[in-house]
Amino acid sequence: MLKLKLRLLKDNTTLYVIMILMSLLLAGVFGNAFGGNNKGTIFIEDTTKSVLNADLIHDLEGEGSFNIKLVTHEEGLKRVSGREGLMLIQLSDSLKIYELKPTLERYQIVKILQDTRSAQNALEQYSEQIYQIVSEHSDIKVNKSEWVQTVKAKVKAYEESQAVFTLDQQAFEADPLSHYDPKIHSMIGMTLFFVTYSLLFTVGDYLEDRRLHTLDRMMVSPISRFQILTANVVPAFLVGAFQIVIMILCGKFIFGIQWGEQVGLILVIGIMYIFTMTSLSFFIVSLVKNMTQLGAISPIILTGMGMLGGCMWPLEIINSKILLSLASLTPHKWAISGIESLMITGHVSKQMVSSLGILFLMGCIYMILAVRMLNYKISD
Amino acid sequence: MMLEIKGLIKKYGEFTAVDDIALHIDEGEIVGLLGPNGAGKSTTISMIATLFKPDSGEILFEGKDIVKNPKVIQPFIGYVPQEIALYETLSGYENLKYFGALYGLNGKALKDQIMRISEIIGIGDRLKDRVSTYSGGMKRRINIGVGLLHNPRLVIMDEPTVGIDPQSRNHILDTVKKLKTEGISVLYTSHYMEEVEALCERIYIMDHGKIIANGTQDALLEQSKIQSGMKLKFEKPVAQIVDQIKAISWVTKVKVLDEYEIAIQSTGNGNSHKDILKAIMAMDSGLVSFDIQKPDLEQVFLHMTGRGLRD
Repeated sequence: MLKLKLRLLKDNTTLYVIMILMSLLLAGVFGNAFGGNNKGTIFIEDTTKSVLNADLIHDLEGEGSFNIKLVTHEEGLKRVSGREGLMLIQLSDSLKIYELKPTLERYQIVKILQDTRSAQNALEQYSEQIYQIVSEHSDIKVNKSEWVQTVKAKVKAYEESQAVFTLDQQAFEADPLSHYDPKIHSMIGMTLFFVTYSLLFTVGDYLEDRRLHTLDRMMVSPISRFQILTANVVPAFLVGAFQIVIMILCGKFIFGIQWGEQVGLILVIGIMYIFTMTSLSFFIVSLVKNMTQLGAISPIILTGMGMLGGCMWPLEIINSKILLSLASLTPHKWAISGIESLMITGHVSKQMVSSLGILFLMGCIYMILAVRMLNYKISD
Repeated sequence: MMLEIKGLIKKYGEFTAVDDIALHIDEGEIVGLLGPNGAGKSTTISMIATLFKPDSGEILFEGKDIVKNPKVIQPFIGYVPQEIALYETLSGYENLKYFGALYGLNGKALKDQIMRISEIIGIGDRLKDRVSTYSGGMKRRINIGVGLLHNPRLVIMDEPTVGIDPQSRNHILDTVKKLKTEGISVLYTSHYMEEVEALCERIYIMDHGKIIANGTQDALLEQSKIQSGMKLKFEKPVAQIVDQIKAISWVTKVKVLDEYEIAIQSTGNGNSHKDILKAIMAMDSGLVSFDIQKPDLEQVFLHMTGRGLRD
């Protein structure tokens, strides 16, 4: 039975291609729209005024993901309270961050700062090593601090002229993970949004079976109702998973998105999202009588959920508590936050695990509701 | 007894679709189920086919309760719905293959069975074409083929000849007759009375969810007590013989149609017409022609339900 359903997928190839193309197109459009004008502002309070921190600020400005503004402590707090910026970073002996609510940018900025600091340390060590070699193996008399500063300046000059620094490139370039690309959000959001249409219309084949009365033939045959449901769920699941893989590949090769080292885990969240949305699609299908009804209500439900869940724009720009509470009811929000936290932190975080758990729970609830609803309709 | 139904009831809210019916089908028997739209035929068929459960009553297949355990009958039942229940984007062969696989057929056995059934339904040369390119009659034949693929012991056919050409219709009727020769039982519903008369050994008539009559065709005619009709034309004016005709035994009513023509109604079986005609000839009445109108199932149905089958 599953074989037949997979064979029937061929008839909907055009639909799936359109959904993939639409997600790529809109990811590009939205990515550019948000990427160009929506850099977050970071306020920095430098209490030490050290050269090291000056370098750090310079590097942050050069990194280009945020607007950097130097402020006093009071001014920083006031402007963050007034939502003029994402956070206030206090650079002293230790690093302190003041923000209104935890944001994904926090992970990003911490990573940039850590990488820059480690790059500075590596440069310091490298300069000192060169000084040691020169002072031990030559007669040249040099002042150590002057020497170190000269080497650092030379390295900087190389870096700024984009010359390849062959000795330790990684130490002087930030980790790819810290280069947050605004296209990533659009890519993830649009894919998660359009994949729901593919899922819903694949699961909607159940309604087509009802219309054609082929469902009646299945029901009177010795196969179980569970098998009938599975045969409709599995193709949808495969279509969704395929679309997620395409998203990752196109993101990398068309938009140049660096997905980081956790592509496997991103895929796991994507697959869990597909499970949840397949279940939700089945639930929606169980509520309607035919494809016409499905076609009428699906844009309302799917677009509404996509907008609420942050597929079109980052939820970080939303302040309404009601909208944010509603967003938490959508699988989209949890999938996006899980994937983005993985990309930014580069490791399994509490946020990622809770996203995965919530998606699984939602999927189970929708599936149980769908099965109960369909059984009720069939036995009626 | 292969299938036995007792006290079957199905309600949709306040509406009783099937109201306490009893029915049985023997091995190798073709049984007709007649009734107008909304009589409860499809609901009854759906419950026998295990599509949904009755509110009360029993459906026994070889003595086993299929309401409690549908698996008892499912492998042995062939269901031919009124609608063309096929995937139009697939070929006839793919449809047969898919639905055959639902019954556990596969490999060579499935292939052989598809070939055998395609010969029975007469569709061999077009089997690999898409169903969407078939004529209505060919779709109907595949629709039936799917129901026969797994060698069922009981075939349920719901209006299998609706909207098709006479050639396909005859082919389908021949297929049903062939099933009987193979010992397969058939429960057949149709609006076409002549099909039921030609195929079915016993007939159940349903109306408003109830079975209002059942039996062989002759028994139903007898039960209905419908009077036969006869039209007679004379070369002489009929006024002088009307009273004599009224006096003939069997004749219940005489109606003068015009100066030379009358219509009479009579009771009794087919032999009553002979007796009436003999009596009229003996009157030197100048009988020119006569037209006997024998009651058929359509009239029986009309008589019992007060409405036509296609109302």
